[in-house]
Amino acid sequence: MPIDVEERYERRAPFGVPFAESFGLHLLVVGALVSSVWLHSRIRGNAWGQNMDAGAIQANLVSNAPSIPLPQIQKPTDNVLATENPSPAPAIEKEQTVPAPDLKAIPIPVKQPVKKEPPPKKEVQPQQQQKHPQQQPQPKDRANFGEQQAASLPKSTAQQQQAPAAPVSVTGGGGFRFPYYVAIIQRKTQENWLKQEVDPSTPSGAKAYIYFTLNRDGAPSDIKVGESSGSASLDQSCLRAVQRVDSYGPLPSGYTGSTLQVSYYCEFTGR
Amino acid sequence: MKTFSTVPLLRSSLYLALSTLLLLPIASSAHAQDWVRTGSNLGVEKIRMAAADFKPNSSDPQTPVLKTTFDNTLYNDLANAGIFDMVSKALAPAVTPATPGEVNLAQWSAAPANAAMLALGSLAVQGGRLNVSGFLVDVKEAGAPAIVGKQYGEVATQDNARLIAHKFADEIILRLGGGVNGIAETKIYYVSSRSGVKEIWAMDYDGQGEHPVSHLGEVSLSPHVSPDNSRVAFASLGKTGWTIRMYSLVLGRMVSFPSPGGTTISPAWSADGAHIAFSSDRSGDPEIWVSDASGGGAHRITTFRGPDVSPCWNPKTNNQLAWVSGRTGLPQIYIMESDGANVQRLTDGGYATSPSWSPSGQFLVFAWDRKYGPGAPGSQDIYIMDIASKRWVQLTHDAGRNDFPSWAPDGRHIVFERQLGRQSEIWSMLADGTEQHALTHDGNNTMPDWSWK
Repeated sequence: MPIDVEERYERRAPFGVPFAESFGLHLLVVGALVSSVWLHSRIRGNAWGQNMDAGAIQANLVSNAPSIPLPQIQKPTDNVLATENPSPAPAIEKEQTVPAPDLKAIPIPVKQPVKKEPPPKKEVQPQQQQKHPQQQPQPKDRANFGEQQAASLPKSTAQQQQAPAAPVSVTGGGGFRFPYYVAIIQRKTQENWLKQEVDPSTPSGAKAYIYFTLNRDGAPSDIKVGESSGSASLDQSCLRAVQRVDSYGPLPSGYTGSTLQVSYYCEFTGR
Repeated sequence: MKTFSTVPLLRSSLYLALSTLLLLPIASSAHAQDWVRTGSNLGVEKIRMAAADFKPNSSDPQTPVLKTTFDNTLYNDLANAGIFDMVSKALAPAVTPATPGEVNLAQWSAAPANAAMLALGSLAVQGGRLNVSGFLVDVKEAGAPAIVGKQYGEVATQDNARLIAHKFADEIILRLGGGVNGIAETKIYYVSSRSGVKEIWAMDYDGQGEHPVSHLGEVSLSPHVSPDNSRVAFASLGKTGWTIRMYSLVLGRMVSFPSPGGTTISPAWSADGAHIAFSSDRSGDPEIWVSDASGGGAHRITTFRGPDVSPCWNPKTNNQLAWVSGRTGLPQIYIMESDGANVQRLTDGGYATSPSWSPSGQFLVFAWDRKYGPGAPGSQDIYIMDIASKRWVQLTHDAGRNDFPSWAPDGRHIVFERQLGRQSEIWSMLADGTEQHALTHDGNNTMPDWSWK
């Protein structure tokens, strides 16, 4: 029995050295913490939550400075890619395996129906210089990269003293020299556009283009969505705005054409 | 597997070539089509309009007088239209160009006039006739043809000078207002008691040229003019009680109208002029009835207990009626189909009367006392309601008791009665409640009705 006890005492772990080691280690950790906090406070000088002298921010209204251009409201690109400029490397087309011809197949003489070729689309090419730069269609087989071109419309919040010449881009043969009528189209369509019809989740800056034809009496006809904004509710609300108008008033008597083509866009700028 | 025989291929290519050839001229004509590209957010503002004094082109002594009338009327018509920002006469250059060629555009487009549009012309009295030629030019667009060029000739009188100015103003408003006819030539029919008895009177839309229409010597109320301006229907208190009477503006005398028995009041024309709706208590309870314009075929379209009065038609669809019903106690505005179906209540309380349906069919204006009753400091004001959403806006505030609104045919103006103190007068305003001004200043005038054209 006594041997057992002795053995037990002998086998007990030594107390002094490990205790000292543990104590030293703790001291080291605490020291490291303290020093790091001190170091950080020295380096960053962070002032969050501290009682500093009250500061002031000066904001200057620049609405009277017509030369300062405001940031453009742009339609957000639908691209998930960051940029839209054509990249030097076009996307590699997936190789497709051509099915091997069946050697045993016997051609069956079938009378092929005469395929009607679709008539060539009547495209109206803008002949004159356009004031609004139209985005050039990108070739389909290339990745779209790069930033969108900024619209060149000068924008500023400066009060224009004179009534601005109606922003109008007119193309075509005879020319349409009646900006007052363009202003009427703008005003009447704007009046009839109910923005509350637009889904609020529509991205700000989305544009729906509506094309329609004006007869001599100013009644719109052949109203259609020319270029979808990607939001069905915005397209519909813009379409309805034009449909609500009975007439924009008779076309100017000095205008000789029988009809006038109009492209009107509704730009959603948020609520 | 399919094989193509060469014949259809050839044929199809032939078709293609043919169709291309055929479509070439169409495509080239499409090229010549004019395109206008515009959109929202490009700025919409009122047209800055200047009206130059017209140039007197004759030495007739009548000329200066008529010219003053003409210039003032034209300026007021354009200012009243509600779509122009007028250049005050004081800011306009002191020149009188007679033709677009004589206009110095820079003079008008520069400050202080800053005009975008300019109405100008000349006026001459020759052989007792007044000849006016008027033009409208776009000041900002040098070299463009004149937007309006018109000539008028009438017997030289003050009334005709005003009439020509109204016609020229309406032409300008039609051109610049987006296809909505101006109201400068319209009339307002109303009830005036300045002769001692309440009779039907008429005046121009700007309050000029007031004259009596009926001379019955009986109390006459609620005039309503037919859409073709040929007849005025009104209610009159004769020996047999309240009946509907008809006055022909073409013949200048009363014409017969077989009014149904009982108290029959508040006639209203349908938009095609073929029917008249009114309120009659022939069946013991005031109900809405509809008859032909000649008074035949009268039939009842409301059957609910409680008074039903003041019908008015939807001028756009011509198959709906708004009216006032007291079936739940205080009078409220209701609408229904013209056969009495689909009754809807529009107002939720208070004391609502005198509905008038807008020419576009979208809005209803009416008089409403929203806090009616003993101890409630309610005031009667004009309200406009969007019928589809039943949302309303108050148009008059803190200005007497307002009642009997009536839409102008352009859908931009509303005429109504305002009672300040003991005197009630006819006022007009834009449909957003701005630019209120009195049209009459003499005697007691009430129940205005704006003509259809």
